[in-house]
Amino acid sequence: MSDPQDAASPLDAVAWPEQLQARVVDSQPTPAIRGYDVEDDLACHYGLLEVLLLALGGELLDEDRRRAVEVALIFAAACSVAEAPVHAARLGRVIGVQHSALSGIAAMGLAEQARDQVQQQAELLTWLGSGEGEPPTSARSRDDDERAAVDRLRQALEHRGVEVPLLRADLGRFPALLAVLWWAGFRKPEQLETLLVLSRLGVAIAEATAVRPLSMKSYPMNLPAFAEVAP
Amino acid sequence: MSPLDAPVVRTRIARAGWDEHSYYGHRVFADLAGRESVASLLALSAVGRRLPLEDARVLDDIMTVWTVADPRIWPLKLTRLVASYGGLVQGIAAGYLSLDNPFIGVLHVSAGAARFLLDVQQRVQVSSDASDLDAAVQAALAANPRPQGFGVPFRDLDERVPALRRCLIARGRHERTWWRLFEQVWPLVQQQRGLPPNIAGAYAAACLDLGLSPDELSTLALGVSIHVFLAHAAEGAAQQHPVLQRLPAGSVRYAGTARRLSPRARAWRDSPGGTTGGSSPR
Repeated sequence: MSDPQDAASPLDAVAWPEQLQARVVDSQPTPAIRGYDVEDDLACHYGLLEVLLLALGGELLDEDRRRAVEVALIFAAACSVAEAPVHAARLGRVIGVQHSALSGIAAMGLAEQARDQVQQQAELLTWLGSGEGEPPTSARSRDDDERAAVDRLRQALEHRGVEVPLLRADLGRFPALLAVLWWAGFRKPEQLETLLVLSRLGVAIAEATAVRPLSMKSYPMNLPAFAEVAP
Repeated sequence: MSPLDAPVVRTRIARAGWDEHSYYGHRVFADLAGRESVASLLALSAVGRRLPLEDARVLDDIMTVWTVADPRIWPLKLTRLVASYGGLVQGIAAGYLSLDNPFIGVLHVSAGAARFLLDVQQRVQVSSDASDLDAAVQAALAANPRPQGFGVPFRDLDERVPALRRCLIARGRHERTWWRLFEQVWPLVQQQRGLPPNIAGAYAAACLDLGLSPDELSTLALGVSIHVFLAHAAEGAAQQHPVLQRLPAGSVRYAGTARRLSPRARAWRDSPGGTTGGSSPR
């Protein structure tokens, strides 16, 4: 074996692989996702959400789980311009950024929001994994409005012919959505965060771009107010 | 094509070594360390060649004068919004994405301002004949009625322009070709279009005098803005202010489509035994 010090740099002294490994998408001879041909199979027999869930989870979901995920993601989708990701993207629109940059701003903000939301439910995820006892206090409904929202979640699932046993517990609205996704098999934080971003990105961009570019005078510059304080 | 046949990407920038590294052909430790400043490294990074340190001092002045960082300034507020969940890097990244706009984004505006000055100069040589310049500016404005480098929102004067001018005078740089041209052009633009000079125009003139091209000074502009984004991303990420994460109720007025029932919901509601909920699977 040659002396690594003979290499031009430490980066040259390592035997790096020569290829990048693909694990989800096979692009030759025709595109396939997790082994299923995209053009001859998936496009003919499955919807877009099913294909995204296949990519993320590795297998096609059964009908109950597919419907449950769909309901949960629809509940998660309505991100308001009051929320930071959409507000930021709206600001980008107001100052006339290129659309690709606006999409990036929205995606970055949504990814951060999803990360923060899922991290705040760490106790819930631990409880879901244990299958024991009552949900943690941090995951319970805080008021009647939340309980009503979770009731509507149960009704929407029932309307689709699905019952998610985890929703018999007293869960708040967002914990309930995570519980549904968890029940459907999406248990890693990165999967939950990805699903949340996917559900919200199109809506966020739509809201952000619902005003004309360069419409600075219509933007409430002092919302919220900032006050300079001594460092 | 095997990996070994893949085209090789050429770079002028760098290669790592064992005890020494290269950066634009210079040895980092032997040639650059102890000799460069933050501003001169930014310049080297943006344009690929070292500027004399006295030129880097001009960039220090530009960066300082450009330190207007009210959190309400749109790209900085955008930075704080995305940083509000605790992500400093994400805040900076999002804030920098907002610079990709042709109206206030330094990337485009500084290059546009430089090109306007170049256009004027091409139309006339800088001379003592004021009428040549007047005609050149008229012609340049006819081709470009709202040139970047001119126009100031919310106030009559961009206060950063005289501030940079004082710095250039102190460094004996105010008599250089492009700054002199800028000072001759701006009263004419103001007279003909009512557009006072702004900091992008001043920046472009000062950087043209450093020998930078429009593309080079445009790239460099991204570097000389970093500090204000860093400040707001850092504070925003540390504060994680709830009001930035979500504005309070009453802050938003809905002006979109009125509430309505979807065709499927209507069909379900109107069907025998249908209600707004129900158990029939779809």
